[in-house]
Amino acid sequence: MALNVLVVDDSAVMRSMLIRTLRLSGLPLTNVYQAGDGAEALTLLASHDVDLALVDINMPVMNGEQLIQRVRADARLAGVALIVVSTEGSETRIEALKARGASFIHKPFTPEQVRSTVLRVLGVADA
Amino acid sequence: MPESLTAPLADAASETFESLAYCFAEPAPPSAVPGAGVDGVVAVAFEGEARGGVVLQLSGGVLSAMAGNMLGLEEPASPADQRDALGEAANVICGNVLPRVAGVAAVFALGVPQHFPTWQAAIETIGSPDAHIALEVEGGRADVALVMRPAA
Repeated sequence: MALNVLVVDDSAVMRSMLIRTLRLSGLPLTNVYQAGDGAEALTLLASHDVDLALVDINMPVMNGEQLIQRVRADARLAGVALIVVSTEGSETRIEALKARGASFIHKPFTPEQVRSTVLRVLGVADA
Repeated sequence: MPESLTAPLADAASETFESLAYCFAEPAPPSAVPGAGVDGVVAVAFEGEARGGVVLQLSGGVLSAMAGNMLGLEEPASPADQRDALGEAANVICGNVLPRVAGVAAVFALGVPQHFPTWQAAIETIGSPDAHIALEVEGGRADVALVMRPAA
């Protein structure tokens, strides 16, 4: 398994934290792409093969909910696994995101939480 | 100030410093919000089943340590990254305190972090605190206020 990952967050610090966490988690990363909002993410997804996208919710231009809606509506992106990484605390909104096919990691997160969620979403047993 | 707000605010703030930034936090002795040695002040407003905001001020060098930890740096983080880290910390505190005080069924929309030159300027914009806590963090101090009003 070699992963192409897209990290979408308007905070450059949070993107760096997530990427460092992914690397510390021992996940086999091939390419890691970054986007500062949903619109940038869609542009990247149109031109790069991505296995997994980690997506913040509150972002300018196009938020995470809109991005997930667009990705799920595009058959060419059906293979992209989606994980929302957010401070969202409302079970109502979290369940709505899950109903759209996204998993959820709550901020602040631990490397173990990121690793286990990524492996579960990709259907890979933890070693 | 009501314990129903201060206790969850202290818990959310402590957990954020420890989990997000690997900074140990413990309650600070009660005193006035520092006006000198301030690293930065930021607020995250929210609206939904209630409206208000979280104001966060770091002083005494906490911000540099926190941003460095978040980025895994040995050297000090850049001013832009420190500003970004401050906003993200306030965002995480806000997102984590709201379900504790309003319940997990409540839905809120959080605004983008707004930076202010002083604590007073933030309070004048966001509102008078309904809860305020102070924490000792990395040899410095964090002041966190929660403003919570009925939805308009």
